This record gives sequence, C-alpha cells and structure tokens, in this order.
Amino acid sequence: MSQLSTAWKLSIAEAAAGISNNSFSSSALTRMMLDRIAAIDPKLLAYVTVLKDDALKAAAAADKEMASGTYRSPLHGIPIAIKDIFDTKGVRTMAGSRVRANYVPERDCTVVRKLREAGAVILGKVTTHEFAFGFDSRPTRNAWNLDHIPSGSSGGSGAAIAAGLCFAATGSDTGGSIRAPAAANGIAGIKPTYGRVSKAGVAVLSWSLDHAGPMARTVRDLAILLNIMAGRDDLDPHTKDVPVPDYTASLTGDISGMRLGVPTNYFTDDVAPAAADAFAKALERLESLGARAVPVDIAELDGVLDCMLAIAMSEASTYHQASLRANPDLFEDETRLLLEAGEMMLATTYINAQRARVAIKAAFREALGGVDVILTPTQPTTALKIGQSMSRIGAREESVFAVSARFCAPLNLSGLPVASVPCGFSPEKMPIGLQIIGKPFDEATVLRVADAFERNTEWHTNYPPIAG
Amino acid sequence: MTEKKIEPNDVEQLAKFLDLKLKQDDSQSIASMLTDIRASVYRKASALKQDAPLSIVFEARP
Repeated sequence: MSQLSTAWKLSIAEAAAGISNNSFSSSALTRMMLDRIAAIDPKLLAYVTVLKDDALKAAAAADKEMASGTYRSPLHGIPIAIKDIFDTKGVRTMAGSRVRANYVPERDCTVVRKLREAGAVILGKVTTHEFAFGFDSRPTRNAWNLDHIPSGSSGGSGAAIAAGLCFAATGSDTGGSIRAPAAANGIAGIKPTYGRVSKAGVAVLSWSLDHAGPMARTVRDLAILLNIMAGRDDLDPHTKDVPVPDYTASLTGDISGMRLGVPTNYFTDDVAPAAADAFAKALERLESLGARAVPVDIAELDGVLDCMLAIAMSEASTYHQASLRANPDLFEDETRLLLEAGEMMLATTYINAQRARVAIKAAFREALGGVDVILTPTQPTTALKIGQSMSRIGAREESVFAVSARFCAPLNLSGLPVASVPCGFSPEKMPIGLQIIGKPFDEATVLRVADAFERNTEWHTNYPPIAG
Repeated sequence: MTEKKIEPNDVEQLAKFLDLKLKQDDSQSIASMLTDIRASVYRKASALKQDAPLSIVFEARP
C-alpha cells in the first residue's frame, strides 16, 4: 500500500519506506495530513494549533536532505503531533488552560528537540486535559464515537492518531494519561520507566508521578519513537543513565517460553464483561504463541488511588501555588477544586503516601520476580459518554477519575514500564486495551510481548468511521 | 484521630490562613475529599513499620 490517498493508514515504518522508495515525498505526506486535519478535525477537535506553514517548510527541508543522501532516522519526514503540554519553541503551549493563554516557550522541550533532530515534521499541538489533571480532554471527542470522551489526559493524541490525523504523537502519563486514551481510541501507547524519558520542558502535574512517552498506531512505531525519545538528560535530574537499547531489535515475534503474570486480585475487581472477555481472549492468544500464564498476587494495592491522589494533588498545588492566588478564576472548576484541596493536604498524608509507595513498588517487584511481564486490562470498561460523571460496573459506582485511573495509576506509583495495545471492541464498537507491565527499564520485553500480540491479531488494523 | 471529619468550616478557616480565595461551594467537596484521602492513606501507612523508608528513587533493576 503506497498510494498517497490511503497513506494515512500506514505505520511510521511503512510511511518511511514509502518516502525512501519515492512512492511519495514528505511534503506530499504532510499536505495529505493537513488536508485531513482541515476536513475531519472540525468534528473531532483534537488539534489546538495547526502549524501548516512550519510543517510544510520542515517537510520540504526533509525532502531536500533525503534527496542529498542525509537520512536522519525512520522518523525523517514523518508528520506527527505534540501534546500541548510539551514546550515548542515559538508556538503557544497552553497546557489546556487559560492560565497559559499567552505562554510561548523560547525553546523546545527535550523530547521535541530530539524528535525534530530525528527529522520529524510537527503538524501541530493536540489537546490535553487542563494541565493533564483529568481524563475527559475537553473539547476533543472519541474517534470511534463522537458522543464519548477520548479519555485523557492525552486525549488529543489518542483521537488524532486513531482518526489518521498524524502518524504518532507525544503523551504524558501521571495516572494513566498515555494508556487510557490509547485504549479508549484503539491505538498503542507506552509509559516508559520513570527516568527513561526526559520531562524537561513538559508542564508539571506531579514531579514524582509524571512520565513522558510515545503514542502511535503500532508497537513498532512506539519502538521507533522510544529509540529517539529515551535517554538521560542533563536538564531533567529524574532521568537515569541507563543504556538505551535499540527497541526495534526486540520485536522478534517470539514469546515462546515467556511467563505472563496474570493478577488474581485488584485487576480482576469489577471489570465490565466486554473488557473481561477481551482480556481472556488476549491471554489465550498469547498462550497459543508459546507463552505460559502464571497467576500472580500483587499485594499492597488497597488504597492505591488515594495514595496517588495525595501525591498528585500536593505536588500539583505546589506547582500552581502562585497562579492559584493570582488568577484562580482562570482554572477550570474541577482543576481549581483539586488544587485548592491539594493546598490543604497534610504533609504527613503526603509523606505517608510516598512511604506506602515504597511498599507498592516492592509488591510489584515481588510479583514480577517469577514472570517476564504482568498483563491486565488497561481499563475496567470502555470510554464513557461526554458529560457522564459516574461509571457503573455491576454494583460498583465510581467517578470518571476512579474508573480511568484504577488499573493505570498503580504503575505510576511503581514507576514501571507499561504499554497498552488494542485487544478488542465492546458490542457498541468501542475499543478495549490490554496492559503489559514490565520490569524497571525493561521496555524491550514489554514491546516484544506487545508486538507479538499485535502480529497475531488484527485489532490495530481497524479504523474508526470518522477516518473515512 | 483518623475518624475525625474535616468540616467545611475548617476548610474555610484554612483557606483564609493560606490566602486562598475558594470558589463558592468548594469547601464541602474539599472537606469530603481531604477526610477520605487522609483516612485512607493513614490506614495504609499504619500497616507499615514505623521506620519504613521514604524513597522516590527508582533503581535500574529490581
């Protein structure tokens, strides 16, 4: 498939091959994406800013460079989008908030700098929930059903990729904000290990819980992006000097003999039938490839969401301390409420939550001791309807926050690498995600399992009706 | 100690001390949220040894 009119369906790897064999140029690919954004995004509302002239200029430069024999990376000439909490030089970066209405960064954040250096063409900035502190990502719609939320906070990234309005996008994840919108929109995403990808120049929600990572249509594309994004950064003291392997090399398709941990607690509580069924079938498929399911009990997960909230609210309130006094009315009501409450969190509550986190990390470490990865549903259910404030699964009624973060947030507290890949649809044709959790700094194994699953399923080849 | 509820009045007093202009009607929600989170985290931390460490450093290997 190398025709330009259908090139939006290609993976990054396939699009790079198309550029390389002169099926189309980066300029043509970029124009095609810009035309699609103009036609489709007025309904989807994923883009905050479209950088038409800059993108066409970057694509022309990429074409010229490649014609002269300079090939920077598999991302050279590929049009992508950037979540609007990643600083972009000279381009307004609002973080979804009126507080930042006039904020134009003087430099790129580290991740954007690396992506540009790799030759990526930046189409524009995509929606985030205000300061990434939530899951509905207004005003963006779910690519599969415009009446539903795209989840969040990287909702613009998830919806834009699913609708074929970019080949990939950046995401950030404090309690599930890469994985939840990936699952909700039927695409792939990975939250790398804490310290693997620089957050320098990314608006802070919570210093100790925030992670940055890639979102894309395929697992190989995640590997290509992570190769570029990962690594120690002097500008981010949280990053670790751990060697970055070539993640694409781990995508062998072979998972025979691997041990897949399957939780017997917490992640089995109150899962909607469609998500539970899709998870069971995903596990069967992986076992059919020669992997072995091993039951694991993960201790210390009671109260995990409150620990996450105590930490996130305290740290976010610290970050916004001045703005909350100077311009409180500029925050959305729900963000303001969380920040006000965070100001009043006791220091002992914050410290106890951080101490509990040590125990949570140890519990995951123990559970991972006898297995290669742990599998769970990414979300207990599919994306909620816009305006729906509560979710009901059986007798359990919970907030949008709770249902969205329940299976994701433990991995922010533990800092472990974790990917989400599509693994099915509900009867209402809403996507469902499979979560794959790995050992610290072992993104390669997470991606290997995710890729093997993807090679043997067709969920990632489905496109929502809005994509055309 | 953990059973004591934080009341909207407590929240309003604290807001004054912190020089925070609360949005109208937020004090009830904040009081409930803080009461719940504080009790839940306290319960969890009570199960830890008194000298259980505080560390947010992430090691390269388990």
